[in-house]
Amino acid sequence: MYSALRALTIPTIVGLSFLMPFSAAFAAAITFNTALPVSKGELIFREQITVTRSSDTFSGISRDATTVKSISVLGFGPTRKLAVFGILPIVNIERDIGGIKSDASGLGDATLFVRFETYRNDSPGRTVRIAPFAGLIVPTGREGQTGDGSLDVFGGLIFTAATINWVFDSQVKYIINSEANGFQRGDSASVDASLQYRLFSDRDFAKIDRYIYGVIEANLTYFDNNELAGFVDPNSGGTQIWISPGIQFAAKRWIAETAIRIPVVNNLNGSTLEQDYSFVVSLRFNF
Amino acid sequence: MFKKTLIPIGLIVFSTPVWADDIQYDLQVDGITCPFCVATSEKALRKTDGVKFVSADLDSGIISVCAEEQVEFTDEQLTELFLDKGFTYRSMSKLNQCTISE
Repeated sequence: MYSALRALTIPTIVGLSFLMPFSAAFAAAITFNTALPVSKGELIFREQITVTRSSDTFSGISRDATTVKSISVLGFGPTRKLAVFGILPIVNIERDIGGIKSDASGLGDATLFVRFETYRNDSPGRTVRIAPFAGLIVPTGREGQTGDGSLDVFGGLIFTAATINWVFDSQVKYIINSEANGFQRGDSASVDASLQYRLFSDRDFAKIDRYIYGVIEANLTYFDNNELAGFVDPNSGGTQIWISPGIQFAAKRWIAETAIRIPVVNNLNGSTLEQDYSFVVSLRFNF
Repeated sequence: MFKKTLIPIGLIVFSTPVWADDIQYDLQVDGITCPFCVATSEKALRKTDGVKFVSADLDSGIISVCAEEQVEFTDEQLTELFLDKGFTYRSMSKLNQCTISE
């Protein structure tokens, strides 16, 4: 069950984390939600659209799939150190396997998590923060279509560092998937890093109340094999590394951002359909 | 008689009303790095009665607050306020006039 954890060795984690300079908390990553900043008594809302395209040819049969997700994220700060988040995706999947088309759409599995800040070191124009998080993935999606039917748990750690010129967020995360109706998705372990670098800082249009960040993110995920009726599915699991260049426009109360996720390592087992790219666009508001 | 009446009226009409003077607090706050941080701090400070406007210099980490004369901030109050917003208040200086504008 915990082989996903073993796959993420310390050198791998450390290596990926240092691909990017040190980092921070406030512009926040585009490809993961755990680093979203929220103060006590305030709300943050992020609406994110992702389009993921997958295609290949297996045994002479062409396969492709397009997944569109509309992901709503709401966060609230009940105390200075504690933040609670809910994530609700709406999913549409269209598949074409050898000319046979199918689709599924509806609510995906919801995510609930809490984050607790355990370390903060502020100095003029910079900050470093560490916060563990833990949560649940609730089976609100249609089993076998837009969700996997199981109640899953996850936990991890966010490290964040920021100056007025750059922000760095990174997380390690582990998901323990449970079984539902004979199917158990494999556990997964991931390391994610995001560097947001302020552009045009000497220009009037990018000062004080509006920053423009160039963003580069990296995501490494190891997936354990799925199990079906107690048998390991050899056509599941594997390792993926994504690189995601993007851009953010940050105003005082909202941030618009976009990124394209490109898989640079797509080492998936057996006949697992590999992803070609993923496009992300999102809008975020603080209240 | 006409002159005696006109002069006081003229003084009233053309004089500028004098209200209580504005004062300015310059607050040294650590950990503020982005427009979001400024916005959340501004929002909290503006909830204080008498605060007129707030300005921030991210390079120096100074938040300037223009307020009516009777506004009195204390170190304890500002420490709590900025902790709630996720930042660290260090110190303040008080000026007898506002040098910032909205």
